[in-house]
Amino acid sequence: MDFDYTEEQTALQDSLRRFASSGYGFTRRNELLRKRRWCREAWKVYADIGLLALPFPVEAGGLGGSSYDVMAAMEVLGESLMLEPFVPTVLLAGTVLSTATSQQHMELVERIAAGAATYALAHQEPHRRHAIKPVDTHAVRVPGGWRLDGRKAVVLGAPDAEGVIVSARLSDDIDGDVGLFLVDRATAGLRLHSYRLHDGQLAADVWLEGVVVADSAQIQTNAPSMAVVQSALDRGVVALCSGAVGSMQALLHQTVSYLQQRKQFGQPLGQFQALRHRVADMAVQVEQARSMALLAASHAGSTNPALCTRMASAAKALISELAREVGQTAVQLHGGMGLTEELIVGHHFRYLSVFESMLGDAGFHLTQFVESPAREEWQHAA
Amino acid sequence: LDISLSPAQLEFRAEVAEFIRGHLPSDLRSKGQAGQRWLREDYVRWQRILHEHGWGAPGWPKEHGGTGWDSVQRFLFDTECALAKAPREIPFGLNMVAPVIMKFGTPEQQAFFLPRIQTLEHWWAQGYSEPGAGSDLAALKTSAVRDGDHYVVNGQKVWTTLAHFANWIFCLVRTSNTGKRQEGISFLLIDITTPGIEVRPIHTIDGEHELNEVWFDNVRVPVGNLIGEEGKGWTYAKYLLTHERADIARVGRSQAALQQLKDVSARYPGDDGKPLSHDADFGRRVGRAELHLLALRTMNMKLLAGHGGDAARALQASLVKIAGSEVQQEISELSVKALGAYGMRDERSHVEGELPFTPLSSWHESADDMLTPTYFNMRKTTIYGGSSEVQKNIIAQSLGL
Repeated sequence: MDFDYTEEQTALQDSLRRFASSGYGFTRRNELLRKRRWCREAWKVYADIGLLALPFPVEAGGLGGSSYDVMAAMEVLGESLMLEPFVPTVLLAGTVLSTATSQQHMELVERIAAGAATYALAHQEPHRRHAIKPVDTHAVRVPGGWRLDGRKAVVLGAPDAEGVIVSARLSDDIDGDVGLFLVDRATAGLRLHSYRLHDGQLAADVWLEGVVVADSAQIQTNAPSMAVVQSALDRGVVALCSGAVGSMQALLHQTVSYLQQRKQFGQPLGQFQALRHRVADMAVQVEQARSMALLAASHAGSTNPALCTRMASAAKALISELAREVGQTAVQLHGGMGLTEELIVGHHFRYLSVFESMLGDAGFHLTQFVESPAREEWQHAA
Repeated sequence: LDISLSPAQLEFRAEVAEFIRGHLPSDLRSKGQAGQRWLREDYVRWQRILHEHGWGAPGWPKEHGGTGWDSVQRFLFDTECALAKAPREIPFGLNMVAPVIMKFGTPEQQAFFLPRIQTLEHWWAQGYSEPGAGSDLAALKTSAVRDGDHYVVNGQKVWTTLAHFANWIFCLVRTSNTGKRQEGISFLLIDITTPGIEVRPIHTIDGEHELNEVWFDNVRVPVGNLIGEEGKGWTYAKYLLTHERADIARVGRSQAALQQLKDVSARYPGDDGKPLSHDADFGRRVGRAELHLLALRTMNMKLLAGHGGDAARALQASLVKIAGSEVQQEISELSVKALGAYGMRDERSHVEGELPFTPLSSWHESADDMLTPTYFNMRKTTIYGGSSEVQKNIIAQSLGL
C-alpha cells in the first residue's frame, strides 16, 4: 500500500503544471472563453508528453497507463481548469475505439494519441435524464448500411470532433440490441447544435435525421455495445472525479490565501473562528473526495466490470455533493469577490457545478451504487 | 501509488478471521451478536485468549512482548475483531499508558507494569479531564505535593471511562503552580485501591454506566510511580496522544454497525408492509452513509500508511477523527430510524410483575433494543479525544490560518 505518486506520475504532473503556468494563464484562458475555443497548442503539448496516449493499451498504440496515472493528470487539468476535451476524446470515445475489433476503428486510437483528431461519444438522450440506454435513437437496415435517426443530448466535445460515436437501438424492442456507429462529422443529416457549458467546455445536441452510413461505420467491439459504453462512462466518471478533486484542492488553497490577506474589523479574516471552521470543513471534504477518487481509481482496473461501475458511481455520487459544498463555501468565504469573474474562484465554482451534472448527477449515481449487486473485496463476510 | 492490500496483508487478515472463528468462545460470540453489555470478566477472558496466542499486545514492538505488527496489520486485526463482535480492546493500558512506560519509564516500571497490562491483570483508567479542564486540559488542578517518599494527591478527575473496572489509573497532576501552566504538570501512576480514592458513577443519556468521576483525598503515591521527570508530564501526554489515535477512525466498528443497519432494515417493515430496505428513500440514506464509510476507510489507510511528514500526518489524523466520528453518528441515527416507532421503546424499563416484553415479532432481535441507547452513546464521538471544534481549530492552524 502506497499513497505517494510515483516519479513518473509526478513528472507528468510537473510538465502539465509547467505548461499551465506558462502557456495557460488566467488571461489566456479568458481569451479562449470569449472565443468559445479550447487551446490547440495545449492539445499539442498533451500529445507530446504522452497524455493523449496514456490510458490506451500498448498494443493499441497507447502507453498502457493505469487509472492512477490518469488520476495524476486529471488532478492538474482540474486545478488548472483546462478546457480541452481530454475526457470526451480520450476516455469516452477513446475507450470505445480501443475495444474495437474493426480495423478502421482501432486505427483511430493512434490518431487520438497523436493529437490528430478528437471524437465524441453520443450516448445520452433528451427524453431521459442520465440513463444511458438509447431509446429514441435507432438504426434501420438499408442496402449496404444503416439509416440512423434520433437525438442525442449534451454530447461532450462534439463541436470540434472529427466523428461522433452514436449509440442506437437496432430493433423496435427497447431492451433489444444496441449498435455503436462512428458518424463522420460531414455526413448528410447529422446536425450539431453547439454550445458552451457554464465552465467553458464545449458540447452539442446532436440530431440525426436520415443519416445513412455504410456497414463499415458500425463499430465491432469485443464486448456487447452497452457494456462497452458503460465501461467508457466508468472511466470517464473516475477521471472527472479526479479533475474535481484537483479543482477542490485549488479552491481550498485559494480560500486559505484569501483569508490570510483580506482584513476586516482590523484583522485578517483568518482570525475569525467561524470562518476558520468552515475552512476546516472544506479540508475534510476535499480529503473525503480525494479518498473516494483514489478508491474508484483502484477499482477501475478490476476484471469485474460491475465492481468498476459500482465504485465509479460511489465516487461520483459522493464527490458531486462534496464539490458543491466546497465550491459554495469557497464563494461564500470570498464574499462579493467570489461572485466576480475577476477571481479564479468563481471559475472553479462553475467547473464544479458543471461537474455535478456531467455523466450522471449525485442522485443517479447513488441509485446505481445502492442497486449494484457487486461488493468490494474488503466487504467479505466476517 | 497503489492503495489495495497486498497478498500478504490479505493472507494476514484471513489468518486473523480464522483465529477469531476458532477461539472466540461461543457465549461471548452470542453476547456480542445480541448487543448485550460486556462484564469486566468478559473483557479479561478474551484478552487472555489473545495473550496466550501471542496477540495480547497488537500495537507493541516485539521486544516488549508485542506482536510487532505494523499499523495496517493492526487495523486489519481491529476490524476483524469488530466484525466478529468480540469484546473490544481496552485501550487505556495497551495503547495509552504502555507506550509512555516503554518510552519514558524506568526498567523497573517496565518490568512490573508491561506484562500485567497484556493480561489485563492491571486494568488502567485515564485520569486526564477535570471539571475545569476539558478541551483546555492544561488548566488541570489536581495537585501532587511531595512529602518524603510520597506524593500526596488531592483533586478530582472526570469522564473516566470504565474506572469502576480499573485497578490502576494514570493521571496528569499539578506539581507546580509557577511558570507556564504546561510546565507544572507531571505524569503519575496510581493504584486505584489506595486509601482516599473514590470512584463515583456518571449515568449517561444512554442509560448506561460507562463513565465515572474519580476523587482523590490525600492519596499517598510512592515517588517511584512518577513517570520520567517532574514537570515533564505534558510532553509525555502529547506523546501518548499520538498513540491514543491508533484507532480514531473506528472503521471496523462502523462497518459492523452498517451491516447491522442493513440487516435491521431488511427485517423491519416499511409503510407499504414490505421490508424497509425496499424503501428507495431510506435505501439512499443508508447508501450515503456507506459512501462516507468508504471514503473514511481510504482516508484512514492513508493515515496508517504514514503518508507525508509529521505535520501532514497530524493534519490527516484530525481529518480522520472528524470524518470517523460523523460516520459513527450517521449510522447510529439511521439505525434508530429503521426501528420506526419501536425506536422509542426502552426495553430495560420493564417492571417486574407486569406482562414481560415479548419478542415483538419474527422480525425483532434483541440486539435491536440497543440501537437507540447506542445512538445516545455515539454523541460522545464528536466530543472525546479532542472535540470536532478543537480538531477544526487544529486543521485551520495547520493550513496556515
